[in-house]
Amino acid sequence: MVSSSLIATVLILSPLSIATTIKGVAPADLNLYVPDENGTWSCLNHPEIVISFDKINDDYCDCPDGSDEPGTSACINGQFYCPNTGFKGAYIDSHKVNDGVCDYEICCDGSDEPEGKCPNKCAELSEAWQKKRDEVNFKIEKGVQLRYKLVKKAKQLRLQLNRQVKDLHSRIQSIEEELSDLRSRETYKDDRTLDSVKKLSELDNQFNELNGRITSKLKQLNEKQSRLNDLEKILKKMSEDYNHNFNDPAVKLAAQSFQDYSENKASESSDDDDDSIQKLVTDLKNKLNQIELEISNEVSILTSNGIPTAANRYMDIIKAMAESALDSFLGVQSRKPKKNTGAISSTEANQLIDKLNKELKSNQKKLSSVEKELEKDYGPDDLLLALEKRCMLNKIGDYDYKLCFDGKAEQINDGGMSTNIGSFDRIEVNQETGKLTMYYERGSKCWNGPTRKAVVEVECGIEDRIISVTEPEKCEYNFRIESVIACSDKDLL
Amino acid sequence: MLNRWCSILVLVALLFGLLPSPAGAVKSYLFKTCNDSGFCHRNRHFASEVAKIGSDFESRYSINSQDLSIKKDKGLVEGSLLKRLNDGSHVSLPFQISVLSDLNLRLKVNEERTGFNSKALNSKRYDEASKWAFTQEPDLTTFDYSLSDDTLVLTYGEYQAIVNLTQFKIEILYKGTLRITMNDRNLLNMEHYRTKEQQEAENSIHIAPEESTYNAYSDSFKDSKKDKLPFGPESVALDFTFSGYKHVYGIPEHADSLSLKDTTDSEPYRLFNVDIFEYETQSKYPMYGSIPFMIAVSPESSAGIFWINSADTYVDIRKEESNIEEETDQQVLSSKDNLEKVETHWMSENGIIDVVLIVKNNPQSVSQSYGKLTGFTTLPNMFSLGYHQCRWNYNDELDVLDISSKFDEHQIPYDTIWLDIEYTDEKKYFTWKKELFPDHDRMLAKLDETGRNLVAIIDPHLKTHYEVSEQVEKLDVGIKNHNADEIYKGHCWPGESVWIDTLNPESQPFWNKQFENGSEFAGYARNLHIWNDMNEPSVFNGPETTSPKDNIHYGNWEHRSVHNLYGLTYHEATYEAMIQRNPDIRPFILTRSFYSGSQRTSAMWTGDNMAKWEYLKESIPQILTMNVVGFQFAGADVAGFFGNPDKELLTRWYQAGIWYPFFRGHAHIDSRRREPWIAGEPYTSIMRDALRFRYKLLPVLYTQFYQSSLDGSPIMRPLSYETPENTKTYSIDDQFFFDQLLVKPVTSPGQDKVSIYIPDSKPYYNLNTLEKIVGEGYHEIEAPLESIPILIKSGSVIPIKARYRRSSRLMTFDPYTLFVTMDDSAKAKGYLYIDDGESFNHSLDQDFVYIEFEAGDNEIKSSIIDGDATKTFTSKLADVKVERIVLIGGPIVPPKTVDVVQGDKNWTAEVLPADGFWTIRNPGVIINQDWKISLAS
Repeated sequence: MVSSSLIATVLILSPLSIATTIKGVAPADLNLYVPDENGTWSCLNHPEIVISFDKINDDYCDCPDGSDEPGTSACINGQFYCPNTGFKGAYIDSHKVNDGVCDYEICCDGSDEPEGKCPNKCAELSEAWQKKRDEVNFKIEKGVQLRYKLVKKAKQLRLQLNRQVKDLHSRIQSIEEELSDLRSRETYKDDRTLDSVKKLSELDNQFNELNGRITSKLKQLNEKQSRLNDLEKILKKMSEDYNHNFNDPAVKLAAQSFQDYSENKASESSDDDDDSIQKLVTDLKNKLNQIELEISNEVSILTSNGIPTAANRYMDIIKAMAESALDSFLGVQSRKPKKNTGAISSTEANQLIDKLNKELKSNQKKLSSVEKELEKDYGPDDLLLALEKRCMLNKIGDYDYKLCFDGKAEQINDGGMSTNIGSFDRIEVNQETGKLTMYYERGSKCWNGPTRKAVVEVECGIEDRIISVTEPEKCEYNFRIESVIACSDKDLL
Repeated sequence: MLNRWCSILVLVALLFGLLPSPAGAVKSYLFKTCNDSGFCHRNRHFASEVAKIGSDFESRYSINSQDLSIKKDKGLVEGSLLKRLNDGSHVSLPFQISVLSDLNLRLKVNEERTGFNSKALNSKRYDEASKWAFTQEPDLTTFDYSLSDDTLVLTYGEYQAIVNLTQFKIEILYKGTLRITMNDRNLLNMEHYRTKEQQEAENSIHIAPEESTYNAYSDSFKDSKKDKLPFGPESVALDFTFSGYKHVYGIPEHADSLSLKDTTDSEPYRLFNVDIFEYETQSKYPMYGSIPFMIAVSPESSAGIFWINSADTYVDIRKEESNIEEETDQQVLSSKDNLEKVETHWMSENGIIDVVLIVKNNPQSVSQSYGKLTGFTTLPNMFSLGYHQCRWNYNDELDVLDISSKFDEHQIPYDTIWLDIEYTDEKKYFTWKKELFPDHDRMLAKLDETGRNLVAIIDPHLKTHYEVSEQVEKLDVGIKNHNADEIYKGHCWPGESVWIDTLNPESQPFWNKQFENGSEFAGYARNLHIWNDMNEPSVFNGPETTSPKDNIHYGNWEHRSVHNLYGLTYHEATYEAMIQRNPDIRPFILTRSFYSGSQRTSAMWTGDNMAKWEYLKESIPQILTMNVVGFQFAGADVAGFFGNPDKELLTRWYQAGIWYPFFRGHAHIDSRRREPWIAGEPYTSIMRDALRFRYKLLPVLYTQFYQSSLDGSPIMRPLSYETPENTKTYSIDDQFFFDQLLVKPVTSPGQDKVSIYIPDSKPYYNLNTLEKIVGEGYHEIEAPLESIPILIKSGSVIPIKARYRRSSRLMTFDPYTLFVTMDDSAKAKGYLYIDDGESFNHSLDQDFVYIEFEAGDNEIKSSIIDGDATKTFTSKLADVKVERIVLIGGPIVPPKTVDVVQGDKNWTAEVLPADGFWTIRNPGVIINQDWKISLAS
């Protein structure tokens, strides 16, 4: 069965003439396989090695470059040409010649195996290939159109951002002007209220600080509470599901300790925490009311004198501040600050300066964030900018996976618990193939391992879709997704 | 307020901190030492008391010569061994001494237990270990004898067995020299049946002064306190002295040296099949399997003890000669024969005494004799000698096919990809997780296109509450609890599970059904094979991580009695089921647990090793040991199961792994991926070269397996088997022979040279340089990372297949290259076995050829010495040629051409000279006919 192919199938018409076929040689290369007048021939890349011409395809490798055995498997580095008549010719590695496998994906004509082993499938495969080509091309063409829209959108968004930068610059400028204007204006002093104002502003500061601290502590506490809940869930599951009496004392101990912990927890009360906060707030409220009363007494003295005072306005400011501080503490939406007009006192000036400074800062912050956004790499044609952190969610295996462009990658289990696989870090384009790869890094830490991360390979597709997620190593994920951003004319078949 | 939360967080962190770290030592607290174990403790105590008394000790065991029944023509002596109790009364223990057809002596001592009544339990001592271990009850052979009042002498062949009747000893003499003495030190101890009350009565007649009663009726070890010990003390123990020997091998499985160590001041070697998590090297701890067979080697002879007992067993070894090297020459000369001995003490928790004593000319003959009893290693399916790629886990169908195609992309040959437990639905064996493996038939078919195979794991623990385990309960074929009234439930990978009792013959049809053609699990694939893991059995919540000893098996036998052979019954059931599935395909089964006889149907590997240099080093003595006790199809996980090997270790491990008869890469789920292409250059290319070299050597390996299947010869062979006359080789276990190649893998980092020991005066050739090396002793050779230290022994013909193909199946009809290395007298010899590599037609239909190559007298000839070249497969070999013959150490001036004769044709072939060797180019001979090439020009 193998022998027919092992015998050289060289048809020599006459010395110096070109053979009509040599097994494994492309027609275009036949001119390289011509014996000299002595009936010898030199290895193609080793002219110093001269062999007799009948050693070509004699199933023994004489040439280090494999060129004497184009039609057999004798040379490890040889290349065998399959004519694939009716389709397109292709080269197959010589180790795949005469190995009993019909490597149709390269040799659809089956010529890599002895006659009769692999029937020619070129017609069939060519049809299938054309069908596949049509499908692929349809997808690419549609994808390229959609991608073009995204490119346009990205341009607009970039223009918008540039405009925003410009606007912010001019707003900042105008605030700065206003500020220098204010600083140069004349002010009068309102000494009588200075003492109270001083006290109040101290109190105000303290209150703000306290408020800030409590808010942040509560936030921390909430975070910790939710982490603790997660931990308790995990431990509960472990203590319920572990192999009872498992011969690992660490697991046994952990499960037992957790059970003890759970029992103790029920007996403890957590009321006093809320009480103490409540008390603090009430105290503060009372104090503020008291001060308010004091000042309003003072003010009433002043107003009775018919003088429109700064104290009046000041009272309003204090009230507003107290209200807003309390509101923010209690979580009420902030009220609109009241506008003040009229003559300016030193206190008012300072207030205004403060306010403008704040505004200046916020605008500068905004500017820097917009500028940062502008500097960021949104990949080819700013496509990620146009995607506006769009997300996709697909069920793969046991889990739902959620992936957001320029955002987070998450794994969500049946119970709705989400694991952070990572946040968008960068997008890379392979210079040769044009393939898009996104990298998500710094996900949640793996037990006993590194932080989670993901490599996301993007393929051309009309809708955003996660095709597959694998975890070749613990906590290192490979995503394959489809999106129009990977569609390119160059890939048309 | 925050304090409380903080303290809880600390507690939680503490809890997590307490979870086991992945890299640690063996969990020694999980396993009993001899001292923790009632019967070992008692027998060691007994041994030390007897030793203290010394020559004054009066044996309690004797035979009344009047009671003997000697059936000389049947080869059998029967009688009663009397055990004297404190009041002078006797317990009568029926015994048999028989001479086996291979001229080995077998002793069996039993006890007829009376007064024990239990519905759940068989009151007999377990006497069926040999039924599982042996291929069949061995034939007996006739002997001559002489009998006096105190001595019975049996004479058979060149042997004499002198049975001392008054204190029951047996001395085996071979060619007139004492080789084995049974009960030499009077450590025979059969704890006869007595109730707790009887034993604990005042002035009890049952306990001799030299005996201990430690844990006789209860177990104080923390994880086995519930053990009911229904029979109380019932151990059997006996000592054997090997005379004229310094080295003993065998009794796997331990991660220790090939030459076993003196245990006087340490733990005995323990034989108890356990799932030993993160085992240590150079240790006497028990491991996953047991083969209670020990071999002693000396230049004059070799001896073996096969202790056929499947209960928990400890073996103490004492070497009298341990300081002999330091003594003066004169002392050595005068007293050498007397001094050199190895004393062994075998202790088993229960069962009978059943022991075969073997003495032969050389270690190979002892291994062969053992193989005749227990069966030889089966001839494996060819694919299973290729490379196996495993990982816990390849995640899904895509992952499997992707790994498979990556091998081809990198032009690295491989044959088999594996699926660990994660392919199942919730670890329910015989199911597939559909989300990950939507169409396993499709996957198997795709793998089959290039001759690739899939091995899927099937363990004996079956998760409760699903079809398969429910059937086990319904058919009542599970292991039962100690009352035998319920199926035992324990924990393993899937959580609560039951265990199939494969001692029960009813299990077989049920098991067959799970694997049958067209089943949901296996479909119709012909390239699916099975991995049996966790069959010690591993029980996560059981004592010593295994089944409670008082669980009950079919036949109402306690698990205690059959523990060490349960793993064998399990993988044998799987083998049988696979044979039923496709009777024309040799099944491949990998088992972790094993017993004597496992070699007939399975391959084994050394379990969960670590990615550290010391485990690479240890793998060689581990596999050498398996090879001398008849279990040649053995391997170790490349490059260490736990952890991440660095690139050098990974590469060196592949270079060593290609010599393992069973060659598999495997890695833990928490380890990084490490398939050969991941390391990058130059490592990938070096590993590719090593893997391709393994494939080139497949004809050699397959031929070695064929020979081993006939005579039990080791495949990875200790030097002492090649040159038993050279005592310097006896403790060498870091190099070995593989056919006629002498190999010393590099097993430590940063090395670029090795010192390799040549055990004889024949010329050797460095395979990497073809440099000739001559002289017994150590020779330094280069061993940079890219090379494996290999020497070819002269006088050999080594047939290889030099062409790279994707898998072994695709090499079937590739031509051969012969390496002919002439010895000093210009002679060489070698063998080649060929069959279809897959079916049983080689044994059913003689569809194989066994070829002898012989060089000498200025010619090389090939003769078919066995088989039939005209059968379905062998006739196709008419297309297979020898493409080149490489001559090393041949005539310095080669001829230009050589004359070739095959059948009635003759022609000439060209000779290509080179430096140090020459090559006959395309001699054109076909492999399945005799041929001859004249070297004279």
